[in-house]
Amino acid sequence: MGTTKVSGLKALQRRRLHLSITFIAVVIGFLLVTQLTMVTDIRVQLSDSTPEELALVISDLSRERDQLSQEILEIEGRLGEARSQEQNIRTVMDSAEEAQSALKITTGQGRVEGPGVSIVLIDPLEQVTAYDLLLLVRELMISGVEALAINDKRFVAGVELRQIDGIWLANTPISPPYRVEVIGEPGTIEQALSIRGGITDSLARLDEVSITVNEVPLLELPAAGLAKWRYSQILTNNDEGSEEDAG
Amino acid sequence: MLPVLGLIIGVLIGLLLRDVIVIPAEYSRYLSIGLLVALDSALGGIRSSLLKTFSDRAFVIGLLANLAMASLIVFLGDRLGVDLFLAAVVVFGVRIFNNLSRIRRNLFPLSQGAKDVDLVDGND
Repeated sequence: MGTTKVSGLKALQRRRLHLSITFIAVVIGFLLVTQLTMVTDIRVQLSDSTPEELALVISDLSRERDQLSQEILEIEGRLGEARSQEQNIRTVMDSAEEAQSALKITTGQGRVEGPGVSIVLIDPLEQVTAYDLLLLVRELMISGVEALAINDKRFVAGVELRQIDGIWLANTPISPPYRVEVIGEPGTIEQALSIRGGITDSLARLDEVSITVNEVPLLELPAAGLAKWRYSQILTNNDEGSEEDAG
Repeated sequence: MLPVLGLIIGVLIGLLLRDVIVIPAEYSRYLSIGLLVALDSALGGIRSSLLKTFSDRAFVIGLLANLAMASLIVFLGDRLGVDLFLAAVVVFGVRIFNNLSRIRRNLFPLSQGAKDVDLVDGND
């Protein structure tokens, strides 16, 4: 009885062993074939091709590589172009900003400050006329004045100085003493004012009129009112076509 | 006889399914390491049966563990850019030869006093 049991156990174990190894063998066979197929497929793909085809593949690849490097060059070129354009735009912006600030100063938009000269014209008998003041202004403009104010009123293009029963500046009457403040190179202005036979000279000859010229290291001039342009329009090259649309 | 039949069946399955099961080329490493593990297990099984130490549980656990470890090593090698795959190939190659030498010694015992050399002790 005992031996039968042992031999039965052995037979069972043998069967299990055989089954295990058979299973493994199936797996090995399958893996072997799959791996072989994969490897030969790759080889066949290359070995089936004739040298001409392989050469074609190589030349295709080289062409593609050349194209790609060409593309790199192009893109780099475009990048450089964009950078230089950006630089240009920055330069244009800078000059535009400069032009804008210059315009702001000349049209009197915004307050300005800087070194300059303060001229006080004392005229108790009110002999000085608007014409005299205009001459003074012209003299100052010639001497390179950048901004000008009379009695705390900015004097810019479009602001009139008139003589109607007294002096009117921009529709408001002004009365002596007149304080003309200008921003510019103080030395040049003083020189221009001190010319013999000039406007200051002739004004000083009037009775009881006195002119004092003082150099001021930092003057602040007020802003002029916004000038309104009703008829003039700025023409640019792009606007040429739009005239008809507006018409 | 049965293992040989199994091998043939495996080959046939592989041939029949070659168009159905298409494994991408980048997995060829996993396939080859799997092949090595399977070979090692088969030889290990034969060896232990000859030594009468065969246990089907140990066999299955050993096979699965080796397979998992080998796949992990190949995967890690792929990810790290280091050929850890080669380490697995070497280890399983050595084990195969080792198993083979044990089987050979068991089938054809050495004459007394003669010595054989094991490459690496690979018994499980």
